[in-house]
Amino acid sequence: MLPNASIPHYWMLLLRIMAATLGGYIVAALFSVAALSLPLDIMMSLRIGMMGSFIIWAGVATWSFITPSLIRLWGAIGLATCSLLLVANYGIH
Amino acid sequence: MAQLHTWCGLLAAWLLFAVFLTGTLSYFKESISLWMQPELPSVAANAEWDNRRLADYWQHYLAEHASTARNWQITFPDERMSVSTAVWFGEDGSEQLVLDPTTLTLVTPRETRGGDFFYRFHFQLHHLPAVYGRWIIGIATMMMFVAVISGVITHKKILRDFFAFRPQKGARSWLDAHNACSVLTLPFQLMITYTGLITLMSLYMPWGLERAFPDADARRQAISELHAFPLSGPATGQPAALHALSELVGDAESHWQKPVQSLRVSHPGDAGARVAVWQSALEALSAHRPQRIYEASSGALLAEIQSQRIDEQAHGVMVGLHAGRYANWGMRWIYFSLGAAGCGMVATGLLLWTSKRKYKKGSELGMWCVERLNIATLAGMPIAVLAFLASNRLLPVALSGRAQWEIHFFFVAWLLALLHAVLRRSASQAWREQLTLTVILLLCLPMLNLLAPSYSVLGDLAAGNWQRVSVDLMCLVGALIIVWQMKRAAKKTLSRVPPTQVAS
Amino acid sequence: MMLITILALCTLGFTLIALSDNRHRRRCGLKPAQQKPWFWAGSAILGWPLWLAMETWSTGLGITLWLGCLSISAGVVFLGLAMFERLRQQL
Repeated sequence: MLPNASIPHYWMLLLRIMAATLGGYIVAALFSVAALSLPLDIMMSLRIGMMGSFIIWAGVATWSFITPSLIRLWGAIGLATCSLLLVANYGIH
Repeated sequence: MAQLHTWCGLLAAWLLFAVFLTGTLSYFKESISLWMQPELPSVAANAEWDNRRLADYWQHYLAEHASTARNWQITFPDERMSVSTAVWFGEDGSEQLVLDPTTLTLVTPRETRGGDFFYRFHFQLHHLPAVYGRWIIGIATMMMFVAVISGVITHKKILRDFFAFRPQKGARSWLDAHNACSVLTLPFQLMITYTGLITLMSLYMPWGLERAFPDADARRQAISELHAFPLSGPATGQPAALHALSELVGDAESHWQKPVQSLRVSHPGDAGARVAVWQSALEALSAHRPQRIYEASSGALLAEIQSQRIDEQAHGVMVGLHAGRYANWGMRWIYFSLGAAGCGMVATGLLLWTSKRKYKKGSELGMWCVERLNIATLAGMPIAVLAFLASNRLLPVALSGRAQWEIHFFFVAWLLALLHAVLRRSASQAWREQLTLTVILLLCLPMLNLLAPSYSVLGDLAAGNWQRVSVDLMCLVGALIIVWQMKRAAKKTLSRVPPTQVAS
Repeated sequence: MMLITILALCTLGFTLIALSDNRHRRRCGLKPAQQKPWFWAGSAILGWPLWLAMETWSTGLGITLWLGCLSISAGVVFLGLAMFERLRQQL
C-alpha cells in the first residue's frame, strides 16, 4: 500500500474492492468480446471468451488484494481495458 | 490476502450453504421425488420395457388429449426415474402425465415439485424472477471462486501438510475441520464452482454473443447452438399427420446402440412439426448429448447433432461434470459425499470465524448478527428442507395447489427458524433447540413414510428399488451424526466449566 | 462392484503413501523405514485403478471416476490416520 497518510484506510480498501468487482468484470467482459477476433470458428471464440472471462475476473480480483501498489493495480486495469477495447473495436470483422 | 479469503467467504457463506445443501440433495432429486410420490409404482430394478411401445402409447394418448398443444415432451424411464412422463404445453395450459412402463397404465401421483424444487432453488432461488436469482447466486459463486483461490494461495503450507496427510492440531478445532473439508476435496470444490459459472455463462457474460449476433433471432439461434438445444422452428399452419414415433425411437436406438432419454415433438399435427430425440445421459460425460432431429410428417432425418469439436466437447463436459447426469449410483454417492463436504466446508468456515472473534473486541451488533444468521442458516435451512418433506406427507393428497403449499412450508419453516434464532436470548440454547428439532424431524420422516397408506417398504425392497428406502436411511444417518456432534459439543462445554461451578 | 474395487485400491495406495512419511510411522507406532519404496509402491497402486476405470468405462468417464474416488479415499485415509492416532493415545 502507498505510504500516503492523507488517504484514509477505508478508501484504499474501497478502491481495491472496486478494482476486484467492477474493474475485474469490465476486463473480463471486454476479454470475452475481444476473443471474437481470434482466427477461429465463431462458436469456439465465443466459448474461449466466456470460459476464460471467469478465470480473468478471478485473477484480477485476487491480484487486487495481493498487489501492494494501488496505482499499479488501477494502471494495469486501465491498460487492459484500453487494449481490449482496441481489439474489440478494430480486431473483429 | 488472508483477509480476502475470510471476508469473501464470510459474506457469501450463508447463501452458499443454502446452495450447497440444496445442490447436494439435487444429485438424488429423482429419489426424493419418488419418495414424495408414494403412489408411483415400485418398478423393479431389473424390469425391462420397450421405449418404442411407450412412444406408441404416448402418441395415441397425446393425439387424443393434446392435439392442439404447442409441443409434447416425453421422457423415457431410466435407472433413476422408473416411470415415463409426458408434458404438453398449449394454449389451454399444460399438463404432466405419468406412465408405468411395465403395465402401460397411467398413474396419478400427488401433485408435488419433488426434488426438482431443490434443484431449481440451488441456481435460481424461488419467489424471485429467475434472472435475478441466477445473478445473485452467480455473484455468490464468483465470491466462492475467489475465496477458494485466495485460500489456496494464502495457505500453501496447509496444502503441503494435507498432501502428507498431516492434520494440523489433532482434528479438534473448527479450523482443522474446515481445512479437512476444504483441502481434501479441493479439486471437487474448484471444479463445481467453475463449472457452475460455466453452466450459466451466457447469462453472466453475454457480451460476446451480443457483439457477434446483434440481431435477436440470430442470437437465439446462436445460443441454441452454443448449448446444443435445438429450437422448435416455426409452425406452417398446414395440418399433416404425425409419423409413428415408435419408428423414430427405434431408428435412433438402433443407430446409437444406446437407449433414448427423451423426445420432443414441436407443433404436433402441423406440416412443420419436428421431432427431436435425445440420447440417454447415463455414462455420457458431456451434457450435450447426441440428438437426432426428424421431420415429423415423413420421419426423414433432418439433422444429427453430436459434439465433435474440442470446444463443444470441453463445454459439454464442463456442464456435464457439474450436473452429474452421467453418473451411475456409485458415482452419484461420491458426488453427494463431496457436496456434503462442501456444505461442511462452508459451515465450519462460518463457525471458525465466529469462534475466533467471539471474545475479542469488535462490533457487538455485527457479531450478534453473524451468530444468529449462523443458527438460522446452518440449522434453519435443514429444518426448512425437512419441513418441505414432512409437509408432503402431512398435507392432504387432494388439496389443490399442494405443490405450492409444500414450498410455503419450506419458507415458513425457515422464517420461523430465523425468528427463533433472533428472539432467543442465548445463542447456545437456540443452537440446541434447533438442532434437536432437526433430529426430531429426521426421525419423523421415515415414520411418516412407513405410515403412508399408498406406500409399501417391502414392495420397494422386493422389487429391488432402494431409492425411497435410501432417503429414509439417510434421515436416520443424519440424525445419528447430529446427536453424536451435539454430545461432543456438550462434553466440551462441560470440560471447560471449572469444577466449583458444576457443583452448584 | 468395480467402483468399490477402485475405491479400495485408492485407499490402499494412499495408506502406503502416508506410511512413507516417517512422522506418521512414529505416530502410528511403526519403526522408521525407507521412504521411497513405500511412496512409489503407493503411487503405483494409485495408477492401477485409473487403468481399471478406463477399461471398464470410456476414457473420459474413467478418469472422472478415478478422480472422484481419489478425493473420497484421500479423505478416508486422512480421517483414518487421525482416528487411529487418537485411539492409540487412549489405549
